[in-house]
Amino acid sequence: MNELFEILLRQNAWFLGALTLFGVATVLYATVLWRNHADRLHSAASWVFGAAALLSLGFIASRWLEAGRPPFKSLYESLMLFTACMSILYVSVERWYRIAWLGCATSAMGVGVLGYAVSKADAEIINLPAALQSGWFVPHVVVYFFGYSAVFLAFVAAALHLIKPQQVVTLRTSDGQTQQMTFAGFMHKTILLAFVLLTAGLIIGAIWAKTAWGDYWVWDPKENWALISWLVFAIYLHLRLTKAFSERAAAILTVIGFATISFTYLGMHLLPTAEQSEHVYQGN
Amino acid sequence: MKTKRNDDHSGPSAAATAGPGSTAASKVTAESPTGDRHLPWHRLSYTTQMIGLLLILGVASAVQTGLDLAVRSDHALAFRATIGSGVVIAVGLALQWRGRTVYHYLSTVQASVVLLGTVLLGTVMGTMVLQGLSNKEFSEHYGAAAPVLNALFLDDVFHSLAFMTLLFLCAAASAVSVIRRWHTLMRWKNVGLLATHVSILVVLGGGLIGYLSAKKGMVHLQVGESKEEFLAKTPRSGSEKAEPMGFALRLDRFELDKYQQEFNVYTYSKDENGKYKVLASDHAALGARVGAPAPGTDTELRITRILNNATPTAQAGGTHVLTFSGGSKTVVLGQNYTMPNGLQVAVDGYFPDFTFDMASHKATSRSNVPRNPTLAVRTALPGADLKDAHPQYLFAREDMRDMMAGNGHPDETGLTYSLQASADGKLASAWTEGMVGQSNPAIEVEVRRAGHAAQKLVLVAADEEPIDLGSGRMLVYGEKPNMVKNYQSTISVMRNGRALLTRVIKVNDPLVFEGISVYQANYDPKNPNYSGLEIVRDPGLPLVNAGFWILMLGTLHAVALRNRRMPWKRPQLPSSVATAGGVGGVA
Repeated sequence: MNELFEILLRQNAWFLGALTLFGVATVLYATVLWRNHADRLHSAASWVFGAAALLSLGFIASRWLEAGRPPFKSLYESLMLFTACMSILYVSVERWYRIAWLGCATSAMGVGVLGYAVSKADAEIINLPAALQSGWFVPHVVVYFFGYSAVFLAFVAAALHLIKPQQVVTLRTSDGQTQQMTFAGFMHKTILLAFVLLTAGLIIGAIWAKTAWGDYWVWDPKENWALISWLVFAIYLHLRLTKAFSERAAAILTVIGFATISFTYLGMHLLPTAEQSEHVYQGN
Repeated sequence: MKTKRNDDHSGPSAAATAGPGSTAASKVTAESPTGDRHLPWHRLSYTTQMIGLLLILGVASAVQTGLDLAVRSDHALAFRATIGSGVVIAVGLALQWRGRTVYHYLSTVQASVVLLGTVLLGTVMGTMVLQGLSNKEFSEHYGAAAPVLNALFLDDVFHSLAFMTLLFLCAAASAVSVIRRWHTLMRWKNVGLLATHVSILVVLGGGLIGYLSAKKGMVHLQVGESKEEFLAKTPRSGSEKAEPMGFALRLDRFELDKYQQEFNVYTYSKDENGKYKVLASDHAALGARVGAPAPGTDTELRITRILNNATPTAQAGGTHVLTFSGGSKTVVLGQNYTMPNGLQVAVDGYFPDFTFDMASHKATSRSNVPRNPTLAVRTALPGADLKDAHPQYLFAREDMRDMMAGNGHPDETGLTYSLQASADGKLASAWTEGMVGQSNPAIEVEVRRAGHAAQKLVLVAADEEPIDLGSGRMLVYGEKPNMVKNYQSTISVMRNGRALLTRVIKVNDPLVFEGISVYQANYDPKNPNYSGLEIVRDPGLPLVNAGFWILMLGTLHAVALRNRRMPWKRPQLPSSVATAGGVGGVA
């Protein structure tokens, strides 16, 4: 614990600022939930969250300059990227959906991910190996992390739906009208976004693998798990065409999808086949 | 999914089935006395359907085993795949001809769910069991379980006939779904859905072509050398076979590009399991405080010297000084001494770079460099006989003394040993800057601990010898890892002794010539003239690439155009539903 605190203090101002603001935003969103209809407080929470999002972007920019390469190599760097993608996505979502539960969960996730990043902090900036020096590197990683972020938002909505199946969400449309849907409805929209991004990430990865290794698909454990997560959502999209697929079943399948994605991202070193993979993060 | 009854077509596909398929089906129904000529599968739960599918795949596995016994050649896999696909197509067509049942089933939504679910399961298994090992490695790793895993083809899931049959069925399901819903899918708003399903066919088709006819292997070249053949690798058996490229490749030049060399001071911690973690990396600068000793331990480290080519000045010799309470004495190897307090000392040996060899139980010196100067002595109290005394080791390094004391071997002689190499008496001064142009980076660190005299230690990067900072933390001076930046070959494509083309290839930048791709695959750190090139000839590649793009654009189109409508939009929300709890709040 002492060691973690020591490492925390060694983080730069962007990191510490983002961590603090995500914490403040969590408290503000929680207060909004506690005091119903606290509209101005909600706006304050949104602003604080937005500032935290900017700081996490600032972290990536400063790290990019310092490293002289895209800072998406180590687990620590990727956790920062996830935080940035997740908060950018949430800021855009909040333009249409003001859901304090979602804000609260997302900012708490920000605190959690940054906290976890401390335990995985790099002592120094790692050199980029030859295979990662490619124009496909940034799109592949960024598209995937936006995909992961969308799956996270869908997961929060799924969990909320399972807890409060009758709760409705208000959507602001561009012509000033409002529409209402359940959490499951919102969840479905984010899954559609996630599916497009996961598909794009998978395809970009395959095309890149072809130019780097000579094979678009090598059944690498990470590739396999990316395929598995993609299949979960492909199954979801097919099941939705059947009448028997209830909102509740959809929410449960989304939770499973999120678990699969989390394992794909963070669990690869646990697999017996991890040593055969080109994708396992160092320092895991 | 625990769904017991699965509705067949609903939603968009329900409209789609109003196409030719369903008219045919209703015709059959009208003619049939039983009223239903579909397989009753779609009435079963997903789990039951999946078990049924797994049984079919079991048959595929049995076929594979039979073929394995019957055919033993490099083409066995391709042969199997062809036969397997043929059998499945034949069975499918036969069933379709008799009652169109499999055909109908494959076009249903639940068939796709069952197929996707089974691919998912198979893929999970392929990450749980080590893939593509040789039979020997596999049985060594799995022991008694190996034959069972082998029999289920889990040792190479993705190349098993069962998995290929599964992929074939996925392709067939995509095809049938598209054919049965053709008129609906041809509408602009559904083109994306059409594209995604067609893309699966295209990608899997390209993959099959590649699987049956792609060649992949290595060309190992030295600078100036040219070769016309590459060593094509046979999957699974791993055997190599020379294969002509249709042209010759000549290696003109090879370059290994490295990142600028960097040496840093690393602090790492080691936990109970021996797993270490780098806590800090400091750039070595003169006068800088370095290291991250555990909080609470008042150790302070400062760099007092930086050596580019550390060269020891004191070799095996040097002056050995024993300090005791009340004075010090310079001693010589092989002599016996009696100290003023009566203690008898025999100086038996000197180990400049002491280590204890566990195998022979003997003290030895790793080198002549005084990294860990140690004096072997025997001591006896006044009146006792020196001959009966056991050998003892006196360490010049304070951290070694602390370590021995920590391991339950405190020094009880009352003597402190130091190696004096020069007038200032500091061990570190045994190092000096050597010849310019050679490299042996080292730093001298001054270690200050409360209650101890300041101590100067030299850390040589090549030694990787750590300083113990206490509380499980170590300090080491070393080179930053992952130094290779990129590597590239200048290669010429030759025909009839003439160079048709000369190009530089590097990782992520291959050469494509006449359908053959040439990749920069590896290098030899010990041989700057070697370059390992990978050769791939895959006729299925254009199809696979096309399939990827169709899938990407199709998915985008399908999501953007088909899902504008609210999902699960409730025409009427119950008025009792509150929009409280942090939801809504839109003015």
